[in-house]
Amino acid sequence: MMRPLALTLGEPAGIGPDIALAAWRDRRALALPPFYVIADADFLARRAAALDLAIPISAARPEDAAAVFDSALPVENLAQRATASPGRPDMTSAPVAIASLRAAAAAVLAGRACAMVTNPVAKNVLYRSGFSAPGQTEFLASLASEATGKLCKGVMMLWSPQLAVVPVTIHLPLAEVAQRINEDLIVETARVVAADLRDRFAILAPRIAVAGLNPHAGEGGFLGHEDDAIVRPAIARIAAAGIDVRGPLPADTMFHPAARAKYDVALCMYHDQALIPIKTLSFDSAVNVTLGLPFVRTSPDHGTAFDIAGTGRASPASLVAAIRLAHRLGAGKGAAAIAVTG
Amino acid sequence: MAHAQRPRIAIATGDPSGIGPEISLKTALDADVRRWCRPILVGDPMAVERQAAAAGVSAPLRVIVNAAEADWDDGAINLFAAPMPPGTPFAFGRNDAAFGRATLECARRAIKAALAGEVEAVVAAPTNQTSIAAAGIAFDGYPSFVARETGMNHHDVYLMLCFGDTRIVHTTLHVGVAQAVALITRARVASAIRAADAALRRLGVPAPKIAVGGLNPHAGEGGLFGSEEGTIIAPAIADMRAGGIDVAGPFGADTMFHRKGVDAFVVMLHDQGHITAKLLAENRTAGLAIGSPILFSSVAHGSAFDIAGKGEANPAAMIEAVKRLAGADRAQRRD
Repeated sequence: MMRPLALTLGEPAGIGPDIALAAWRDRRALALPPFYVIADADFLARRAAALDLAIPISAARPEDAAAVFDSALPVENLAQRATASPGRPDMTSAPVAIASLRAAAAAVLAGRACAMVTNPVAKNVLYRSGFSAPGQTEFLASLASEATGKLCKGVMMLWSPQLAVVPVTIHLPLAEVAQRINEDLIVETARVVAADLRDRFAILAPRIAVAGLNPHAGEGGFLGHEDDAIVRPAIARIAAAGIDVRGPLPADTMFHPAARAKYDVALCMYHDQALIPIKTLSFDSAVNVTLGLPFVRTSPDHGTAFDIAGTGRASPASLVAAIRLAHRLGAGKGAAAIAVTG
Repeated sequence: MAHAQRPRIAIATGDPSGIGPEISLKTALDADVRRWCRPILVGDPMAVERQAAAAGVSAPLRVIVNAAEADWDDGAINLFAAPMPPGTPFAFGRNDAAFGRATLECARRAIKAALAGEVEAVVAAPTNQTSIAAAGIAFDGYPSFVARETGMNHHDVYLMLCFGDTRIVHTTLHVGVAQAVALITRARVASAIRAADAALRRLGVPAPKIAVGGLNPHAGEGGLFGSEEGTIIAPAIADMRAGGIDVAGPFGADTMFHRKGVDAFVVMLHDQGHITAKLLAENRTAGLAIGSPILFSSVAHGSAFDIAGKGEANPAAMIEAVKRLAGADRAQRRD
């Protein structure tokens, strides 16, 4: 039997439960691969009722999820109870969200699930409960490091059929970006990206394009020194490691179709430089993929959307894209399959 | 439109050896352009003459020194003389310091005409950066040039990229990211918003709606990813709202461009605006330098030395830029 995908609950007060239910409702029309949700099953049933969705929920072990999937939404039931109302996280939010993540990591590390898809959490809710990692990605990297005994560094990639981008710095104030980017960070990021594009996306010789930090990639030092002082030497080291890499490229001219044909992934120096092009090209279909972990993890490219949680207005489009990509990567089908269906 | 109401628009012909003079001539002869405005070319008479001959333009040139001599009824093309030094040899598609100087000289002459009220707006043809650099002139694009020529601080004239119904105003432009962060002040953000509102009104948008993007990821996410939105950008927006401008934000710059009903987006950084513009626009981008006393636009393509003097250059971007300044795009939509 096919190994299922493990889907986390995310923040129970957010839209994660809504879009998980909606994705299962649409499973046949969308030909979705089997997945199971790791959650408080009663909570999920209450949310389904509140949304007027007649969705049978079946407690199931990961091993049984694929067999159940066509007739009921398989749920691996957690010991933690969730009581939060839509839009209103409560004391149960963080413990259940964290337990769901832990169980998903255990399942993929043990090979009971082929990949994990994580629903959005609210960072400030987790922080208030004493969660010490900056986000889900770092938390999963630490669980993976514990389990494998090797230090894992998670690298965020945003992927869509049109474009893949990796922001080298992510949620960093722009004033700190110029100080925080350094050769080692760029080189390490590129190594992780190249390895995972080869091993998971089946791109035999990944081509990486690196954006300059400054306008026009610094224009020979007239528009900032970092591109010559940091980015260019980092690219030389990446090339010396045998990776097909080019740059630093001016970020404004590297995303049109002819330019995109020359690379598989763009490394950008800051959040907006990476997110603006992919949101422009693929607003609803971009998926967040974590590279550098010993398992496949994807997530939808949006937040908890507290304002529309529990209303039925949340679109499962990004979650569906994340489920599809996780399935193809988890099943080892790589980029060939993605290119065909993308 | 009645003759005297049509605005006079100076077309600075750009690098004399590139496609600038050719597309300027074609633009000045375009029937639609002549319906909407009264064009006056600005350039070196000899170079424009050579370009006209090579492009098969048979209309006579009327070389003038002030706007009162211009006439739009006899089929001639009016040309403000901005002559190169006597004896400067002409060639198509060649880098030359003299051509670099001439490029900026005709832009300067056109700006003077606008400041003197001889024309209502200026459109500038493409430059060649190599020739300008060969002349030993520091030039990083028209907005800062317009600033200097109109007596302003060169960071206080803003580039507004225009394509279709989308307009993007850059609070900072050709500076490194670290310097851009330092340039983001409450006064400058407010000034960019005010310039956007004024430019939109001059272009015929009666009640402009403006959206402002953040500097940091997710517009700072409530202070978690940076403080400038709370301490600088939001107060600047509040100042401008109090001044009667319909402006909202700050919004995360990665999702802002999907907002509907916005006449201009104000971004903080060069790449925030240029990545978007170059993905969405189909080569017909006009760049307005806004915030100075004059209305000034350039076109977003280059001087195309490889096809200069062949008569093949496409004037579409310049025609669109001229018509935009003349208000033709708004008027046609109302029809």
